[in-house]
Amino acid sequence: MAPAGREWVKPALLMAPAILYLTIFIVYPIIDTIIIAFFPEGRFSTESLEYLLYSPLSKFWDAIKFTLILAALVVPIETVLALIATLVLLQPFKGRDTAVYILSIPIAISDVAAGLIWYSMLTSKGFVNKVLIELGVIDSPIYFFGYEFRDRALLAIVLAEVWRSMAIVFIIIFAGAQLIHRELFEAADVFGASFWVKLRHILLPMIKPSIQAALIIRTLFAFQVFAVVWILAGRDIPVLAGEAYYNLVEIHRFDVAALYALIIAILSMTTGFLYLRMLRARHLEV
Amino acid sequence: MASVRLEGVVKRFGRTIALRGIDLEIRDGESMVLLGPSGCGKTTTLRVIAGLERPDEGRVYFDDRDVTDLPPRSRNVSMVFQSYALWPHMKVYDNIAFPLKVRRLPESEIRKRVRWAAELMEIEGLLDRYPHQLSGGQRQRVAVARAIVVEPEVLLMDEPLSNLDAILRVKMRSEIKKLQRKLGVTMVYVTHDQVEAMVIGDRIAVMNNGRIMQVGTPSQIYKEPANTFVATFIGSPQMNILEGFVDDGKLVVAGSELLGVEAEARGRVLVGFRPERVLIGVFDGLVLEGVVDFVESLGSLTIIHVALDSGSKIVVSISGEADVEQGSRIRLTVPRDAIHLFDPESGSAITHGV
Repeated sequence: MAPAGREWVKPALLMAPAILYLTIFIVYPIIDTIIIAFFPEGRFSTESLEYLLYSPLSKFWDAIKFTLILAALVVPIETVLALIATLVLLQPFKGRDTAVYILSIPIAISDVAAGLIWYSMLTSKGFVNKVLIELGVIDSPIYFFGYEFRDRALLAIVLAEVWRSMAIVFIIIFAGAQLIHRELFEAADVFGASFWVKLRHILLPMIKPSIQAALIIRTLFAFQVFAVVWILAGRDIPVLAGEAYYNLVEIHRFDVAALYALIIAILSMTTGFLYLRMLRARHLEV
Repeated sequence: MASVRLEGVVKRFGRTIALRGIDLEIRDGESMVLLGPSGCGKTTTLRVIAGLERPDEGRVYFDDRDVTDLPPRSRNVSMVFQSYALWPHMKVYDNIAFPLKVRRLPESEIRKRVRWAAELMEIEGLLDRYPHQLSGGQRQRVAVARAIVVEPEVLLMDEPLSNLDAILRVKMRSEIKKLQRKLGVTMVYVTHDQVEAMVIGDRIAVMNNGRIMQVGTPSQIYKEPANTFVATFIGSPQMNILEGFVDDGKLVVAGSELLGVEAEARGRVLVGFRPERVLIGVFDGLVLEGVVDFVESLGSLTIIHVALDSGSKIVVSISGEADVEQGSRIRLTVPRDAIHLFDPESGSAITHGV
């Protein structure tokens, strides 16, 4: 036991590396971003905010809208699909391991590559249109891209994003579900539970922590959606991260780009906090 | 309550055959123990009765109802799992109430029944806890309470005591037996512990390698083992088995002779006798001579390892303390009624007592 008054030394030392890491890579960049956004010439200024909100060149409100729409479509769809895949793949059958492997492949594909894959599939001379024309389903190609087809581009983005990021949701939920002792399901079988009762009262509550982890990770990344959108729709469908990139690289409005980064950060933190509050697994608390 | 009947049940897992034709009748209200070494098929048999495994061949009947193709929930069985299988996200009350809620009983009835089961298992004070807040013994009680709350036709137990410490195991095994008697429920109980089997079973089915070796009361299994497997599996220390020879009413074993043997056997036999039936000294019976190899004094019991003059080694168990010294010569008698003869080829019993 350390002498009285010195008990704080050991915990402080143990926490120091983590605190140091967070300071260098999180706290400092955030402060720096605030400075870039609001103190462009060393003095406080709201010019970036005014540009963001009122400039006719700014697509801020559209970017907010499309970012939220994409997150609200992609995350629930891929979570439900991942849950269904988990339910199917929890059953033992031949070729199950292969199926798990195939479902996990998109994890290894970068978002730029994913965007390009779907672009080449859905373009007017792409795979999808060719097959549909060959089969006689359609006479002329379906156009997915271009400003006048924004709704279809949005659909293409949702498809690509769901395909790309369902894998990580599936892996997290499936891993969590596999940790559940087989006898817990068998007990439900023996004691008379139907498929739905088992799903609702045994499986879902028990994989709640996994679903929570997957939702947090995916929602936060959904707010940063960028490459797939940029490749499939450019600024026709503006999103927050895309606008940050555009302001930084294309028109060199560093202050506005920093402000976008801050907005994404605030959105992410708020959501993470809400998820943690809502999805608490009470039985895991001591 | 119901009787359970298995007819020619075969179960394969890929290339391994878990059950090689099981015929077993469990009477209404009886406590049947499936006993055997690990991998003998006892748990698979239990799971076939539960409906958790579908047999590849054969049928399963509850009374005269063929339940082979019914899922577990249509069988009115309940089960205590080896891991207890308490749902960690439910409080004890909800764990016990789950089977009743699934059956859509009225809330008041559920409360009454959960209270009844909890009182029976003496866990009324734990209903508001989560399973991870309980000790192993308490979880065990909750698992049993959940299993009896539905008043099942058949109560299945899969090595329920194997995760408890030795003292608790001894206490729980008599409690389970008393509970089964009190409820009069048909019970199938799987264990690899022969003492547990003896205490809990009205009858015991000894299993090995996917087959049933013998079914009988604990006393029958002990006194009249059907073959060398059952003979050596039941009893501690193990039954001694020596090679012998029967000819014209004369049994020759380990250089000693016993006359007046009335057995149908002729030629080579295996001679078995339990360590606790051997007497020190010379009396009527098979007299063996040898040197004391090693003595284990256990207080209530003395176990003497003897190297016979013929070269064979046997074990003798004497109640209380015995005045024998390591290295000294010793003469022993196996009484006639303690001698079992087995066929050396098949291992089947020929006679108990000669």
